[in-house]
Amino acid sequence: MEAAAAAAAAASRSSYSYSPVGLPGDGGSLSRLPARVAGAVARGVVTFVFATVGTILGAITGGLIGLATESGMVRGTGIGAISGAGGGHGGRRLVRGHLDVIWSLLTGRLVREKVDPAVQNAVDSQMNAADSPFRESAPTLSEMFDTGAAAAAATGMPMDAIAALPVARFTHHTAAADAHGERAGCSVCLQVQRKVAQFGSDLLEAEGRTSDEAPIHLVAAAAAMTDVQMSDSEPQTAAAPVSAAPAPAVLHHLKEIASVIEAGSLSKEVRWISRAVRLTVALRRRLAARDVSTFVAFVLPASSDAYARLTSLVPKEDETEMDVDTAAPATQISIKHGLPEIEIYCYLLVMIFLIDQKKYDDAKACATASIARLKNLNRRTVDVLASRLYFYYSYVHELTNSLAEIRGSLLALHRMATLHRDELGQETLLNLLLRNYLHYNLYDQAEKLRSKAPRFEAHSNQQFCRYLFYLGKIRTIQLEYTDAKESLLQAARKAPITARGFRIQCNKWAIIVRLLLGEIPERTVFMQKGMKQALTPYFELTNAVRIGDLELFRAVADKFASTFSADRTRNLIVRLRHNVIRTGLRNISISYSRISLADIAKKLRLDSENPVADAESIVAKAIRDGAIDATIDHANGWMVSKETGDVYSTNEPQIAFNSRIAFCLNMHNEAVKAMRFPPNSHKEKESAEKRRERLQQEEELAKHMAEEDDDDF
Amino acid sequence: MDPKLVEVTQLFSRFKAAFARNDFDTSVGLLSQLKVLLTKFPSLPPSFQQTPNAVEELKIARDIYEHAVVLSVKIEDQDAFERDFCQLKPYYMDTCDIIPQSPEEYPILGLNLLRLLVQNRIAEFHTELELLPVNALENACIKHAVELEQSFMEGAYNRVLSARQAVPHETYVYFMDLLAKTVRDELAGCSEKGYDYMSITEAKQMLMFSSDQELREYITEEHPEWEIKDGCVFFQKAKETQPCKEIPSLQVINQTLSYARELERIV
Repeated sequence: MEAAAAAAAAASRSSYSYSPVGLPGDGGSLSRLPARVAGAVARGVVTFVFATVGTILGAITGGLIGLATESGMVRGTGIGAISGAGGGHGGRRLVRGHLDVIWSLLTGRLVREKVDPAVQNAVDSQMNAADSPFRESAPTLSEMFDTGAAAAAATGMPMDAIAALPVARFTHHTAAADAHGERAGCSVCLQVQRKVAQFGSDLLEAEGRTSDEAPIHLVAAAAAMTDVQMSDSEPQTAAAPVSAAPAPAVLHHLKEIASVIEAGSLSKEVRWISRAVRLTVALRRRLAARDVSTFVAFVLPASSDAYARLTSLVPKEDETEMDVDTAAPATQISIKHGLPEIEIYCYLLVMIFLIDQKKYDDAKACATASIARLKNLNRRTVDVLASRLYFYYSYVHELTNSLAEIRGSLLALHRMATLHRDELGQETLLNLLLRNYLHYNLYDQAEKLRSKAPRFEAHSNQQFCRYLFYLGKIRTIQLEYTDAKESLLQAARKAPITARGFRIQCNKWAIIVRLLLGEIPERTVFMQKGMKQALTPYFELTNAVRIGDLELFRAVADKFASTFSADRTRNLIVRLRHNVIRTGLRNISISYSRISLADIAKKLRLDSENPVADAESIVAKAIRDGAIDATIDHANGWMVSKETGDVYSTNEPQIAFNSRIAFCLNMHNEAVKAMRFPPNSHKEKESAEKRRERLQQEEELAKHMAEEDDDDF
Repeated sequence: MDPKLVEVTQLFSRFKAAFARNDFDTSVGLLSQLKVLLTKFPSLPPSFQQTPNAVEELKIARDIYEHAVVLSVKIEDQDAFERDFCQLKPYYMDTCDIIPQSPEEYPILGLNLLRLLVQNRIAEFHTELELLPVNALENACIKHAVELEQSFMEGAYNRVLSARQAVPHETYVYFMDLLAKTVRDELAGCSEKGYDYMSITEAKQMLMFSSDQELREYITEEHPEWEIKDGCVFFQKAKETQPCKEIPSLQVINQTLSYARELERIV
């Protein structure tokens, strides 16, 4: 490059030096004319040659620089050519300018003007990702299929639905501490309310939005709120008084949900169906008979027997209300034809409604009818609705104490789901079956089923939590306490915060398993928010075990016998007796260097005919199991404790550390595996040209790297 | 009455007679015949069809199986016991509303629990226990088995041995004898760890031998490392030297390698 520049510069200088002389000038001698002409021609030719060379060299240089700075080879070539050509002419003053031009060519300043497209792309994608976290991917496909109204739904929840969500009102009253001594706050973004005036702007600021856009976390609140269908879960309690904004009719929502389902079924995207279910669940509390019956009438063709069955189940309320509905401006959401998804959805809606109204027999009839209908369907889009239906089917039978009847049909459904490769259905049904068996204490059969059923990655967090809980229960009964503890604690951890009843149950069993393993759960476990009262019996039990006092243990077990029977943990508590004795013995052995067996028997309060002999054999077994470190002197009738050595000189610390390290590393791996990136978010805005450029760059890069590899050789 | 039912009843009475006079071979033969005849009844588990004679058939079938169980105890065949009990279980579980409860139900359930305990299948013991309704635990037979298991777990073996005297049912004797043997092994193991030495008389008493000779035979057979010197049994040959703390190198290597591998994965 430098040589070319030098040549060009030299050319320009030489042409310059030649030019003033090149003018055919003053009248001089005629005899020198041909020589002068020849000289002029020669000079012109040389100048021309140098200009050409300069152009070519400039073009090449500009082109290469253009390539290197990714801003267009043609452009660079053009600039280079012009600049190079310009170097072949011009006067003295322009030399520096030309040198400057050439130098700037070489450094690429002229050509490099804007940011790398690659960098630009990255910036764009980041901004898009921040902009729309909940944006579903591939809107183009659904936009092609949707009708006008549904297209509005495709871009997010309709404004009416958002407005219909529960709104928390923050006032000065809630700014003061509530009953727990904590301030009110948004349950989703966890903004704590400090001052009333500030709160709104705080929220929006935290979300990074202007005040016109609806806060997205309200949508998330609806999704999180009632996704959990644990049968003994309590309804979500808001920290502040909830005031619902005046909402449009429930019927309108139902129609919108129907359109969402239709969109989902037509585009074969299961996501829409899941969202429809979530929206339904949000509406659940406000359903009235009138709404349900009008919706069913609207959606199902009157001739189908589904319609007949469902309308017979839903009680007709006074007909006068109907007029108000029809007068309301109905945005024409037209349902095309009787999609099976819509039909199943109607069944689901009626089921939910009947269960909420406590009409269990009707619900049972509805459930049986829907199961019969489901047997004929094999569509993936129905799976989500089907799994909900299975759950309610089992639930209504449980409420009426007739679980044993449906065991056969649940097994058949499970078989069908496995054949259809309906994984969500398989999961749900397996959990329902396990629940069925465990309800009747058939642990043996439950374990047989569980060990033989096909397992795969969990699709739904709630189902996975339930599975872990049932697994933990089975393992506890089978005396495999370590596995049980792991499962139960994992279930308690993974469960959503709103599923309080479920977490209480998990914790109860986890406490007992830990006691059976010989470790005492720490106090904070019992003091968790909202669970304190339910866990009180277990707290007292833990106390008794910790002290090692059999009398106290017996008293506690009798006092709370009814609670334990209700929790079905009574047999486990009976097993704890052995632990109490062990703990007591351990305490004695640590505190005494030598103690007579009679005294041990008295301290342990073993009530039996022959306490000394009992104590002796108990101590002997404890020594053999390694619980205490002592020897018995039979002749003198006492126990001699051995010196407890320094635990740090053993392998104990290493083992403890190892388990903790393994746990942390495991958690890291799981977190890495669980990371999610927004799908396809950076590809949307790419126009054809940019894509071409990007592909080109990638090719060049690949070629470059290939060349490098060759060089390394 | 149904001719098949008549036949079964007749055969059954013959069986009972043979059983009463402890003629085990005939009994076993008759039992097999009875089982074959029972397969002709559709009202029995697992099909549970509703035939007009269902109640009679169920009752008699249950009776037959109960006798089969007791017979297997008498001939000391544990596998037969297990098979017959498995067949008997559905009668107890699922027929509660069809036929009245059998008086032999709880003794047999207790017997099964005892069997599981003797065979050291504690997990199944507890699983079976879960199936029992709450009031079943008040029954003497069941309570006996449960308390036995508790004493066994705690290590109060003398209670186990004394319970042998107080069997609620004579069929339990067989299993209690087996249990005694297990208890003896356990006691020997515990004594080994818990005592440095013990006099011969005490050892004899603890391990429930009636003579020194038996004790010596037992020791030479099962525990050759024990020494018998001047009237005492020494359990440990020499005080094991304070274990020179050798580093479990293989384990440490494995652990460290896994740490290194995981840490490398952290980008």
